[in-house]
Amino acid sequence: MTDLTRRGFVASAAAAASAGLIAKPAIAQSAWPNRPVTLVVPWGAGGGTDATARIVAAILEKNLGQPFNVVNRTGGSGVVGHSAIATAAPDGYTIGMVTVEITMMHHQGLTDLKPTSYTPLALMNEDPPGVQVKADGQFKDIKQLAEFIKANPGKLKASGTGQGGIWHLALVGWLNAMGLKADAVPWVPSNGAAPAMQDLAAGGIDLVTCSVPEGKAMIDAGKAKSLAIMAAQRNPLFPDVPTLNETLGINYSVGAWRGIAGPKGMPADIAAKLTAELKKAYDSSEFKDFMKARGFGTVWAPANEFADFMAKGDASMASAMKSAGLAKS
Amino acid sequence: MDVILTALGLVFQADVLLTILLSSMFGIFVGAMPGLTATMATALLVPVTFFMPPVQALSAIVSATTMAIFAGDIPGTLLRIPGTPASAAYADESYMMAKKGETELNLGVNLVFSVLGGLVGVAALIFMAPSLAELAINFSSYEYFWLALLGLTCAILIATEDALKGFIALLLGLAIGTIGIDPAAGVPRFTYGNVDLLSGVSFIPVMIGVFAVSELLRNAPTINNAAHTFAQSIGNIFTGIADVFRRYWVNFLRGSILGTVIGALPGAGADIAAWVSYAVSKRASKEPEKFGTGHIEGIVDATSANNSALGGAWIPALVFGIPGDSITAIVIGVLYMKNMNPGPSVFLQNPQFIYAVFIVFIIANLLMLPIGWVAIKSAKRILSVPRNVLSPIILMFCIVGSFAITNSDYAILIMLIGGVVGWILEENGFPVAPIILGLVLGEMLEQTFMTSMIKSDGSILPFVSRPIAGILAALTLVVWVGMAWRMITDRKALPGAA
Amino acid sequence: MRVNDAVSGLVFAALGGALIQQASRLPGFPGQKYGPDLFPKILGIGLILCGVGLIVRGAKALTAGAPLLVHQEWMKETRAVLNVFAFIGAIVFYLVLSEPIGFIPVAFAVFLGLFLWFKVSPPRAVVVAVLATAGFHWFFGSLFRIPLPRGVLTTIL
Repeated sequence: MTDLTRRGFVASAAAAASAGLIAKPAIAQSAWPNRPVTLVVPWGAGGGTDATARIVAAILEKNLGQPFNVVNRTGGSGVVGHSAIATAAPDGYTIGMVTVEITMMHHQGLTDLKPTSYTPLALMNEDPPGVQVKADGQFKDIKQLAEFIKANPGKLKASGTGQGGIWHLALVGWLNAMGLKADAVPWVPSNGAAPAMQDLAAGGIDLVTCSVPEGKAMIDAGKAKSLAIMAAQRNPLFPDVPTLNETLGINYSVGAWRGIAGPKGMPADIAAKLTAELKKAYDSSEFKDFMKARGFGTVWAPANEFADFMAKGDASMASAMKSAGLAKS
Repeated sequence: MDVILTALGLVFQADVLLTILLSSMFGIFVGAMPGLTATMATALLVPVTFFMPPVQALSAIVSATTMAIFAGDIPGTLLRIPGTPASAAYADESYMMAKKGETELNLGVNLVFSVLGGLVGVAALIFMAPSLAELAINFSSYEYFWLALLGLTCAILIATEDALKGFIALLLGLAIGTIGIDPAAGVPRFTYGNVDLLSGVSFIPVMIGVFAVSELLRNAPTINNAAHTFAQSIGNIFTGIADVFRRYWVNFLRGSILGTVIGALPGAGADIAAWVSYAVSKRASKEPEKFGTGHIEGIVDATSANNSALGGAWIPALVFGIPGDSITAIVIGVLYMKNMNPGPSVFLQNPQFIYAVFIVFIIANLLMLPIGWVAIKSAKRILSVPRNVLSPIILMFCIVGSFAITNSDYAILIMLIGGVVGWILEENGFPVAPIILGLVLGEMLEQTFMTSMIKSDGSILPFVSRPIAGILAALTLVVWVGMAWRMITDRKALPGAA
Repeated sequence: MRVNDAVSGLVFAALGGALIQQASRLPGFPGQKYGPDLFPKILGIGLILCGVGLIVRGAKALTAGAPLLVHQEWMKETRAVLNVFAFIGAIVFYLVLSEPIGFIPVAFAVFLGLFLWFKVSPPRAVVVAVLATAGFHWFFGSLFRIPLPRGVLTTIL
């Protein structure tokens, strides 16, 4: 509790109620956070984004002494949650985990929200896609797979996420880089990476372009293998998986990332404090151990760099989605 | 043997046992509250388990979810509000029993057969995990398409009096399910630019609406009548259980096995297990006409099935890291966090932890008997509250429970519409349960069909040429022909029945 | 209120028609034979067929002398009808006001209003309303961390 008297509280509450929003930030800023903070997650409980958000929330809660409540606002391919973050009051008491979809959805015409609709706070994670195939299938390495696709366009089917999702785009980008059209490997929409990996094992599809950690369980179970990752360098957690550049000479990389942001127009001091706290959380051993255990990549970028990162991502998504025929305009 | 001893040593420690007890009580609460699901209980436990050693962390989740699935039956029986989606299939039947004055028998059966079903699921998890997982992993969209179709057929099977109205209710549920982003092309469908509609219509608020709110509306006119309380007090719940077991042990076995298998399939959990086993029970029963009038038979199947599904869902989760349901999706995350990476190697690297989980599963199921008994006994107090006091409180449970699903007012609006529409439909002889089933399975049916057509380049051959798909297709055909046959013979028996 | 099957049949057939009409405006799925319109159209056809089935059945009953509309006993009683609307009204009241005003005052008002309307004695109604509001807020808001709307109490809680 602060040193304000109870009467003072009631008075200021009444003032806030009558004078609308004017009085609120003034009180809120006095000692942020002095009440529970909501962390909105646009994806469901149980997924990687949810897990990452929950560990970050747990660390922030421990360090700041106020509850950080993770609230799942799911559905609409991420639109619902992202819009809940953007439309919340910018008082520092509602923040959220934004994901790569924020640079994609508005090109598809699903929403008007884009990276600039937020106050960026920090980038915390990025995972590049891999190319996974059935363990006992015909493909031994990425070169052989690439040759097969070139010789038999339309024959193989791929999956990993919904139509127009990040992993779909990863596939299209890779095909384009090889000089092929998007329909050389038709996309089978799925409810995420896990069902796609299972369908791969069941023989329903031929390749899955999800991130390697998402495919890890099936790979460990001996049902699937990863032929390459679409990143600048190898993942230290999966050192045996080569990059596209070293095998095919293709320098194409795209990744799914997660960061923390608030609604546009957050007070600068609260935003700065949050970024500092997020840095502390990022450097903590709890966070590092957790991300390592799940095989998730860790990347740090403070607010301004995060904003640049999103702007760049947004521009490259625009052209990638246009060439894949996924952009609306 | 050494491993089992080590595991026993890991479990039988004061802090682990205390965790099991506390999480069990937590689970009972969550399960009995409409809107709070077993999945939500698990998600809430995750931050707590961050700071626990592996066995303790997993014990918390196992005990909470085991209890929650059973506890959902209690408000289903007493107030016609399924506490969790897994109880929705037979909430109506249970409520009918309570109205007939058979509350004790119903809750006793729910408790005892939940325990027994849970133990069957655990046994399958212990002894058959690898082989069952091997079977489940070979299911592709073709197989799931037939499963979804078979599941929808259940709606017609359980529609009691009027198959035509049951079918309309099912179509209505399926139609509501098409709202939102379509599962194949990813385009918004029937959303008219609304962000909430983009996320579709979640079935839990609909369930709370059509079951609970409609019941409140139906009872509202007589709320001040002489009968001031909802039901009679609860006596000995264990009377008559032995008879039920002698009579329906086949149902118990069938329900448990079906539940385990459905639980083991990725993407199908305790709720679908309960629907399917209830329908199968009616189909196989010698007295199907009693179903829907407060008959215990189908409940034996379904209440065994939903608890056995819980153990079944851990099978693919442990062996392949594929979630069998939304609870195990979270469990997998916890396993990774505790460095027990799921996969075949988990049995080699950390066998003592896995055996400890098995032991906790058994303890939790046995503990369900006393804790469940206490919970049912305390529910008695709720029933002694006058209706004019209890009804507004139930209404608030419905409102807050729906809100908890989307964390927005949107779900309350869905609940309200569901309540009013469900009430009108029931007044006019339409069953409401098929609406829920249509919502649960609609997306699965459409998605599996669409993705299968993309995979096969528009050919329907793989729907029947893959071995398991072929078997399921034949099974579907048999069920349909049987249903058509029955309809024709019924019509002859009852000319002009309307 | 129980209407003749022909009426409900007509409603569902119309719903089916609307579904087909709305679905035909959906975009196709590039490169695929079937698009997002397929499933709603099948459902629409199903609804029309079943609706027609009900119309036929209802028409038969009508010619046999069944009434078009049956009123239940309670609908003649104003108080009973208002009881139904009390519940619906309470939900609407909560929907409209919980976000701006907050869970605690609105839930309290819903409880108190319904208790008094259903003739719970005023002292008892106030006590139970206070306890129930506090209980709900503690259980769902604090224990389960459900973000119940804070409304005007934002700065206090």
